Amino acid sequence: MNKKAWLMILSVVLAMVFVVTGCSSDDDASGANASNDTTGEETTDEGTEASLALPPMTDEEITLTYASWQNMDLQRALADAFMEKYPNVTVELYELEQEGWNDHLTNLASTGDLPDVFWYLGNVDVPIRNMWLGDFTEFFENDPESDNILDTLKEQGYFDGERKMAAPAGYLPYTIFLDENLFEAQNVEMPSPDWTWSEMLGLIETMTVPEEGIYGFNTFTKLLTMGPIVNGDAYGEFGWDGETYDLTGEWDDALSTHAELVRNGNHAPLFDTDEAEAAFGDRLLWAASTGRVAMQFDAWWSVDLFKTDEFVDKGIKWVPYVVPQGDDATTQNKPAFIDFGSLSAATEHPREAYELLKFFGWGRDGWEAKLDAFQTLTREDGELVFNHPDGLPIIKDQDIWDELRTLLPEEHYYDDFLARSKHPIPLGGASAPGFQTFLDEVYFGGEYGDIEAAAAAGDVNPYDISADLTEKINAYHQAALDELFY
Amino acid sequence: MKLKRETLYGYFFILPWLVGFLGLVLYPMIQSFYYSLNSMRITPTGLRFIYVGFNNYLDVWLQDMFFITELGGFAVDTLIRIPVIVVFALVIAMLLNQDVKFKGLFRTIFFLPVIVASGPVINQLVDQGATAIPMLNLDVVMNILTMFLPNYLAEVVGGLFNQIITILWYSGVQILLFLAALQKIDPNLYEAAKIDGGSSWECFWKITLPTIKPIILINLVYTLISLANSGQNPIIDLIYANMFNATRGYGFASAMAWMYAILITFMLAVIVLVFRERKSKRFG
Repeated sequence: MNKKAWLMILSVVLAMVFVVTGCSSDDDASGANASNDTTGEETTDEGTEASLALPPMTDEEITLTYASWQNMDLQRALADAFMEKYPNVTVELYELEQEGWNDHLTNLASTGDLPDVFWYLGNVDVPIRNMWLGDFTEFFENDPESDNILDTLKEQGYFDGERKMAAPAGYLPYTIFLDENLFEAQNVEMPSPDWTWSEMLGLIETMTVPEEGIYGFNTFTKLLTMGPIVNGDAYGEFGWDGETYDLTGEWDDALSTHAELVRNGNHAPLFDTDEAEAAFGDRLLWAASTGRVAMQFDAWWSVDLFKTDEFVDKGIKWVPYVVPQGDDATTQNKPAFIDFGSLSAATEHPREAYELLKFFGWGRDGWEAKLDAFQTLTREDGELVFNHPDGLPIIKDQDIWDELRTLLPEEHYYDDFLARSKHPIPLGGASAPGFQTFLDEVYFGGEYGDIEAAAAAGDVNPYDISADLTEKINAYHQAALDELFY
Repeated sequence: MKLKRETLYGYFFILPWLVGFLGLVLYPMIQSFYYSLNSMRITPTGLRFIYVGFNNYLDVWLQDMFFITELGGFAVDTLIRIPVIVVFALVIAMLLNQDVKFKGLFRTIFFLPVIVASGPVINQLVDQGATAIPMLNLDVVMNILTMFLPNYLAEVVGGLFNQIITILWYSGVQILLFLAALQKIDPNLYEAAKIDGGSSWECFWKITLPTIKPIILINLVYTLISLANSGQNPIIDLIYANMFNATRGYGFASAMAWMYAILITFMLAVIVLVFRERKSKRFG
């Protein structure tokens, strides 16, 4: 062949290389697509051969980064346990302040350093809008362990109903604490662990004794969050049924009841108000530590605090109850603080990152390591890091629940509580797109001002606005979902 | 064109500032303006922009219910604080200019807050109530103020009492500038005035104040800028909050920052117009 022919062949080969390279560049255009494609390929190869089986993990030496606001000692213990199980994987933990968590993640994302596995705080719109969430549907749906997740949590994180973009990773139930000593002093019988919504409202009124300065309840967690979930069997706040919100019926009832109880003096005076100063002699004293409040609407994390001398010395004995069941409810659904985690859409190791997310969240191995850590981790002074477990299991294994039970006080209240805590319903912000933005722009900062405060002050009638709010929150939800397809 | 050696020296000396200005001021300003014209996504694989024109600017005024409120509050607050700070700085500078013992120590003491009162420190002090006058009953002050002032003004003036120590802490640099100006006044002027029978009061109004007038303008500008950039300023917090807000983000926050900057520029222009040095026409 002469020189001209060689040149022709070379040109054709080069042109083919350019065409192939050019076409393949689309696949690399976004990290999300890249990881999704990998996922698809892996599961297609393996998934057709064996149903419900995950593709194997890599044997190569890799490093995964992880960020959550869990106790750092616990995270280190879990990371060690994970690395022991998978010696070729190195886990690097990011230590970030919980305050401004999503801001820190934003900064990391802006420099291309978003962790392979991360928790997001409160508002799922932040990771959705910035396209941080990796799609791990194929892994989750082919993982036999997924069936072990508590029923009400398993389907969470399918924001568009099809793709698994996030998963519950931590669980702290809503808890109503009753002051057993105050009930005894007032000669009122403690309610059954299966108490109902109307029984609770009745007890609030019974235990309000104005002449003795005793209040029926004090709130951190709210009636209007609980109402639609326990009375309306909803799967989220504000009457969420899995597809749409409905604030008419339960939400407006609960807000109206709350406002009435506040106006009638059943609710303890609010913190740092003249009323609090008049009632307790100190406007900055937390009502729950006065010994003059019958019920404290709170969360599981206060169990530890309520066992401290500050309360015991004052003769206050707070015991935990689950949120009561609705009078006509058909489910045991209870509101809960559920933390969510996800994989970075740009992770280079989606399969391994999924395993890490699971280990720290719902994996049985991970839970065994957690229970071990709760019992063995000590501070420098030799004291245990955890006086009681940091959260409840999000899996069904009864032996895990039983072992966790041994780490709690012996009173029967804890048996009763755990037995009724297996249907947690996450709050809106982290689990429902558009929810938190609706709260920011409409619910607390819209034309009605702070709706709850306005209702308590009698300026707004919840029944007059619930239909309008329903329309707005559903619009916000749809707008946030549209972002998923951005 | 051949540059003179002196000109080159001049450029050489301002080079560090020039580099800093170009890299740390001008470039971020251009970048922020570009951001303000876009809706931004901070994805794990890089920044993504959707051009939205001036919509972010419209949204700042039409959608953010806090911006206008905070802006109004800042304007009123600033109009009251600036004269208080500048007058206080002048009084202290005149006292420090007297022939007193431990003059150097006093000057250090009054300048110290400028160094100590960095963002986190001053935030802690404010949170712990260390910047209020301890024995002052604000309720009584408010009751008196509301008797002859409308509520929105009474609140601002009441807030002035509540944060008087913080406000006065903003005076360090201004005191230093006034002190430098006062020391440059020729003592012969005072001597001549005294011979002509002028009192100290008359000397202040006829000699001191006219001589230091340019420095008053500088101090007014400096005070406005330092108040506008202060970590205590709620508008700065609002811009920060919007920056990390799920649906607003950097684009919206940049637009808000630009609107704020325009307002500050307008206020500066007003101050410069009112206090600028007018050339005497008598000998023109």
